[in-house]
Amino acid sequence: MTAADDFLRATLPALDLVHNLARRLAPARADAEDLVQETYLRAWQAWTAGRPPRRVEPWLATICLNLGRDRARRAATRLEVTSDTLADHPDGIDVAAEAIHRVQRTQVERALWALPEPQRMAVTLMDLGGFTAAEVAAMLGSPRGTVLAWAHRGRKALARAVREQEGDRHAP
Amino acid sequence: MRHDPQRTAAAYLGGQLPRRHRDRFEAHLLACEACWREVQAGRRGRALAEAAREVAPQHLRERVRATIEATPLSPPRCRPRRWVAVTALALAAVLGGGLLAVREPRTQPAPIAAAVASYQAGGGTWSGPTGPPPAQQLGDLRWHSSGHGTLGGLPVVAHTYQDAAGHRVVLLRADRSFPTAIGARHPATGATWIAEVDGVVLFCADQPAPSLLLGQDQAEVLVAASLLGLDAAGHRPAP
Repeated sequence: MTAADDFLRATLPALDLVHNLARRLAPARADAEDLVQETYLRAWQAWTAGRPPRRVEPWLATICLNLGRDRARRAATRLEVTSDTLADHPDGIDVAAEAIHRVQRTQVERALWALPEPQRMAVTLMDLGGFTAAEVAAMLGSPRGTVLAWAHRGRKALARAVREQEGDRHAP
Repeated sequence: MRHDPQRTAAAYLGGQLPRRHRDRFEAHLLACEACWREVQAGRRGRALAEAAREVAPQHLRERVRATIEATPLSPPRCRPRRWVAVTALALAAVLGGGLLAVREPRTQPAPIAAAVASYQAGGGTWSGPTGPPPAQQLGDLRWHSSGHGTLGGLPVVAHTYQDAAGHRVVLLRADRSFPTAIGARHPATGATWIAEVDGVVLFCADQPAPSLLLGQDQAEVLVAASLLGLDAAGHRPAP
């Protein structure tokens, strides 16, 4: 088995996590996929330079987070969500349940992008990534209590925004 | 404890309350409307966020795998121990420096040396016109200019990509293969190579056309190679 096989076997199970994080760092799907690729490339370089991590998931998440923030700074433009970036979900079965799910997911994504970045990251890392407040605090370089407050405010804002969007949708 | 519904609900939902406090807070929730609303809103937001989770598409999984398999191993960084350095210096002093003679660096092939020099000079030696670039954008980098030139006797077409921050990748295309740079590393298949010469990262592939990519950041160069399909041939695992 080669070093690349070892690396892929250790890190590919975390691909969904990195992908979801990248989707919250780059609104366009193509940009998010580039970010995922770059994350794995940087991780592979560190791995082959003799710096494998103790735990793969927080390690990859931190690399992705830093790269995503760096890209956003370089782009020096405010990230905006357009209907294009939200509409390009992978192919799915076009039945009513799937359509409803898509509508709700689009609402959630729009609401997530409306959150301030610290709240969006705290919600993403805790609720999508499954990390503890202590792990997220280490990744973001912020106190644990602050991370908890960001996550809580973000969740409440998310619930409120989706409720309002649903209200708009059902208004006569 | 001071009554702070938002803070307590955040700690409760984050699993941060010690068991004794958690039991007490759960009992308190039944009687306190403000805390109950905080917890309910937090739970609903968390459920919504969790419902937005996506499975990474299969093509992304394959792209990551192909990128890693096409990227050669970095040489291990061996930091000499202090006592080794001290011993070496002592030996050099004793033997008059004969054992520590520095080897003369070997010279790069002319097209490689010229390509690196041209990149470092900002690529001002190209003249147009050429056909359209193979891509308008490579990741964050946008197509900037194209032109003809000759590098160490090898005619090439150069396409320059850059961003507002000054990051730059140059794609050189030729009718025949580029010579291999001294110190180049090959993946297992040997179909491509990568090297660093005077601080410039070079990635070379023969398929689909003889191509040499130059940049300052290895990740940027490899992302560009992948987007151009340079590292795909012969590297993707069998389906």
